[in-house]
Amino acid sequence: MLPGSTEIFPERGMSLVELLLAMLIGAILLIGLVQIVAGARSSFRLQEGMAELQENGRFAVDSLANVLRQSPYTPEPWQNATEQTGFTPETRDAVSSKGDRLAIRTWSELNCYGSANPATDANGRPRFYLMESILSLSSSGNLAHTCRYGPGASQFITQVLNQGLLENVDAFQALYAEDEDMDGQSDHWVKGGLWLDQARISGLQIAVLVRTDQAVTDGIPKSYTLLDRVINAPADGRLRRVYTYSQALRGRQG
Amino acid sequence: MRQAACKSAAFRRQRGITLLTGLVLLAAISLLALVATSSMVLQLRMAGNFEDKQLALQNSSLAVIQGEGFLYSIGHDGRAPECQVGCFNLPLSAIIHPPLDVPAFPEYEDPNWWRSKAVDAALDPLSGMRVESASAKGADPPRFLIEEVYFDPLTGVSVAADAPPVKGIGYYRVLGRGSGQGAAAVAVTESIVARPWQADALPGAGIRDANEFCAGFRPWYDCGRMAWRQRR
Repeated sequence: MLPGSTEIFPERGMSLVELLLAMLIGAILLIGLVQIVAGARSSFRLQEGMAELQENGRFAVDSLANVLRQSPYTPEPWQNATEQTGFTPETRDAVSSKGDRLAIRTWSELNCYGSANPATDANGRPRFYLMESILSLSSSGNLAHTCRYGPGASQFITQVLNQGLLENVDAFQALYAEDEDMDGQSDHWVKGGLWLDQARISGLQIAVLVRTDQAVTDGIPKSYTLLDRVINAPADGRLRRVYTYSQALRGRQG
Repeated sequence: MRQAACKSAAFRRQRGITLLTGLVLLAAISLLALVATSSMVLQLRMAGNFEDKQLALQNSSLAVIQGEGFLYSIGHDGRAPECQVGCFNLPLSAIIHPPLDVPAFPEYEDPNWWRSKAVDAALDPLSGMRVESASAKGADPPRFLIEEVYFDPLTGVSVAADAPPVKGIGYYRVLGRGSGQGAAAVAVTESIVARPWQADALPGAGIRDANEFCAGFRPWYDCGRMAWRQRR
């Protein structure tokens, strides 16, 4: 040992008490840090879940708007209607515990895939065929779309069968605005199929209850109101949100 | 002296470590901030695109409304009575196209085609004056295009005794094109409108509202918007 070395490095070596004290302080700091990290992680998952819900909600509204906005279009309104457009008798309230079914018909020169109808008229333009879109919830919680296309209702070909539009949907509800006296103002909301005349339906309101794929919160049971129905969600820790969407059947506006 | 030199060297080493640690931490924080910023920029772009799409749809709907209003504003002497093809004189013949003059899918025609065929919805097609109600923001001004798709001369049709005399009903496809702030967001909407022509009556110019115009024709005749859809 060099003479005077203890004076140069007086801090070399720690006693047992110092070591235990340092470990204790370190442990306290570590516990605090772990709690902060866990909190941040939980907050991140919650934010991620909310973003997922928002994205799914926007997509659901966009998909529904694409189907409903075109309906019920009639290319030649001067002719007497040979086929019924608008909501069909398949539109029903509470077809399952998950919700309603919506079925609507319109005339279109584009088929269910968005391609021009290969059948043409005398002017070489694509013919207008009847298109039926059906929206309902599958038992696995997917908002599914079925699409049929053909020259008439008796000659429909199913082109899209139960295609999943959106997953993780708990409930799907619809209400219809009926203009009973045909004065251009909606008089009341009715459930699917319970209207006096479907030709008097001037708009509709749709609500979907979407949930996150994974559990992101503490499992607390909660109730959600979708239009005229209350849904009791299980305490599975998944985040849920109701999206409500209104659409006027603009083809029927005077 | 030697003790002082050693202490000085130790301090110099300590300062170096502090700087290095600081730099590493700063780099890590900067990386996190960069990731968060890029994620936010993506979200912002998505929201911007959505907004642009909505703006384009609003502009195209506005163009259709302007086109419909223009159709009702034409006097009853604007269309030759009992005529089937080429029934409008200039300048109306440049605005109202005959059947099949518009392609099957006009929504996919380029902006130049729309500029040559359609009318700027912000301007009155006849006077060229700016229409105050049609102020819209967008890369391209909203435009409308009218096509007479069918004319029903109402021959052989018995109408009620109290119905106004009408020489026929024209059915018109009114197409509106609107864009968002960026030219890539484009919406095209279409309505089919019925307009009765009353050759013996007052010109009726200036009426731009469907309900006001159609009040004298309903419920005896088709009048107003009969169908609507978004084409693009």
